[in-house]
Amino acid sequence: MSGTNSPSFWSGRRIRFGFSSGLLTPIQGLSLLAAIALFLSFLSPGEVRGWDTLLPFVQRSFFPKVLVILLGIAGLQLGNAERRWIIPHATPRTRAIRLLFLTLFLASIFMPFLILSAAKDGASAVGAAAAAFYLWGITIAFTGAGYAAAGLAQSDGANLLLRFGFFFTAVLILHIFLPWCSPLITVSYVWNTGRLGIGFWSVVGLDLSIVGWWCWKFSTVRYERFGFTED
Amino acid sequence: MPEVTGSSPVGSTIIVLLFLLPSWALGANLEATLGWQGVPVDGAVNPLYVRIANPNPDVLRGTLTISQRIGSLWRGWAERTLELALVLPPRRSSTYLLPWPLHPGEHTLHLSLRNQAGALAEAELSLTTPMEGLAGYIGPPPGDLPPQPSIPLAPSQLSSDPLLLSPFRDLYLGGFSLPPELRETLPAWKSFLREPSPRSFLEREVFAKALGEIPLTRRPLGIIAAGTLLYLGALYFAVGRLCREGNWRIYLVVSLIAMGGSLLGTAYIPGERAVEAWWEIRDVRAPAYSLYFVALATKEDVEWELPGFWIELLPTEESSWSGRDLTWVFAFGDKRSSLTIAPGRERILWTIAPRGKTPVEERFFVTLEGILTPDGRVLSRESFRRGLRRGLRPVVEKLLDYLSPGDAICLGYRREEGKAYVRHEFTVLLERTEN
Repeated sequence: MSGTNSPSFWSGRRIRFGFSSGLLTPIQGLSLLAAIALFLSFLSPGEVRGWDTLLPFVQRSFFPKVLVILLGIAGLQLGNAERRWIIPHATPRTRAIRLLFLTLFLASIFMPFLILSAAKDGASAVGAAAAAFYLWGITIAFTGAGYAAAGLAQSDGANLLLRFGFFFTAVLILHIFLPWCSPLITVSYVWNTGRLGIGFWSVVGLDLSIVGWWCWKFSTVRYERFGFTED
Repeated sequence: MPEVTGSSPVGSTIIVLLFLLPSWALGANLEATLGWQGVPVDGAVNPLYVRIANPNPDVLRGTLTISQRIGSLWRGWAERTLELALVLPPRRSSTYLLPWPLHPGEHTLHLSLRNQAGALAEAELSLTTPMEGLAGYIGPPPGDLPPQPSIPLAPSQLSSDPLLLSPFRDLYLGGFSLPPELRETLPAWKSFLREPSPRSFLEREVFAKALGEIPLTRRPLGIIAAGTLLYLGALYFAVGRLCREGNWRIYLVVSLIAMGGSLLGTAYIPGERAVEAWWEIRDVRAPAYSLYFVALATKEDVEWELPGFWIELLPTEESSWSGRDLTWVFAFGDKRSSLTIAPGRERILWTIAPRGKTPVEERFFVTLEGILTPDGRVLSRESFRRGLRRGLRPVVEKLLDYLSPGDAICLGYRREEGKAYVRHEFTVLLERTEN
């Protein structure tokens, strides 16, 4: 059962689990941005001239907020790329597991940075773990959004507009009009207090809804009709 | 020259409003006067006399709250509040002497006396235009009084709190012997508040600059940068292999090593929320008191509390006073100052309090050639400044302008680290030869 893009990647002696090369550049770029944000958050007075100007950007919970943005973008890219990634003979269940695994992989890339940031901010172990879980939840939600956008939009331009239109709506509009479920506020709350508020459970609920809808939608239908081949 | 007598407070109008109370209480009387002989002085800590009468047959337990809005449309508005917990026996009155620093703002102080049942009395104290300084004298008026308003004083009137003497530019004591408690107070006023004083030439900018020199923590930035670059390189390689060949084992190894390294690194990265920098200025001529400055900075909004009564040095930029609220809480001998610190809005405050216990370690003499160090070298002022500890340079640089050849300056330092803060305590002892 082995081979490139095998649907049963957990079985067999050699586990092979590739993904679209279109994801490489976003992963590299976003991890570099995360590294820069982490370094910036570590700076303090005496080390940088004009530190006062930097202060609003490097306050406590700055880094988890940056990760909300970066993992949101990464999730959108992943969903978009996965919709176009053909897996021969794959079942929807296999695809769902693969997507969940890939979101976990994306979130794990940033975890070493998150651990350092938790130490710097003095965040509790519970707060850091809850924030990490929340960030994974955000990645799943945006992956679902990217996947849906790739199916709805016919052209690359429309796809791009739809994806990032959704992204800005989810991040900025919620921040202004529905702050109780704003990802930026929620991650800060979870990080600082170690408590799971309504924003946290909103994302858990959203993720469960996406997975539930997926199971219901593809319980009887094969879905290769969505895909097209990539070199 | 204008002279103010003690019999009538000039310009301070008191409006006392008595409130109807529940049947078990008759209310209370509240009267207030601000300033020595009712003359408030701008930029100084004025004495605020509050007389409270309890006509009830029961003990009065309540809180007196005094508040003033300071600022302007251009500066922005901030609130100053003093809360005094008090107990007054039945059918008795008492006068409380409280410190009240005057800043430009609304010309009204609001006073409110409350207990658990609600308001007992409220009053408003309207202020006249404050003076720039006072001269005080005991006995007959001296012949060479300065041009500022002068006030006759009795030795018993002078406060044992040096802060309350800050409205005076000059004090003429004649030949009168002072009560024992004032023998420590007056040298403190003379050393720290009488012009030209360290309080006036050590301006806010000096401490803002000094605070800017102090890192919030000593963070291993080099190791973090090197580790991050190493991780990114390994990550790019592992993700490339994972993408092209589907081989996730390399990524797993890289990820586990990176997370293990991060967990290990947490042992060397202290978490913190605020930095407190204290500067204690001592003077050999005032052995009982010190002039203290404290600067507070943070990376997040936090409620902070300082022991004692502190006065804020306010910035001068547009809108910079907005949100700089300060509350003083006095409760049965305990004094605390409570304020909020926010990122980018450091708070700098000063006070005069009993001398601290931090020892001074090194003595430097000011000479005509430069600064004589304990090991016998003579340094230029610039070399001396560069060799000082971070956080001390701007303060010592300013103090050196104030010292003359023959004077000495002694320095000390102590660092204290708590879970949520780091405190730097700088001590400067001035040994001045001039009178």
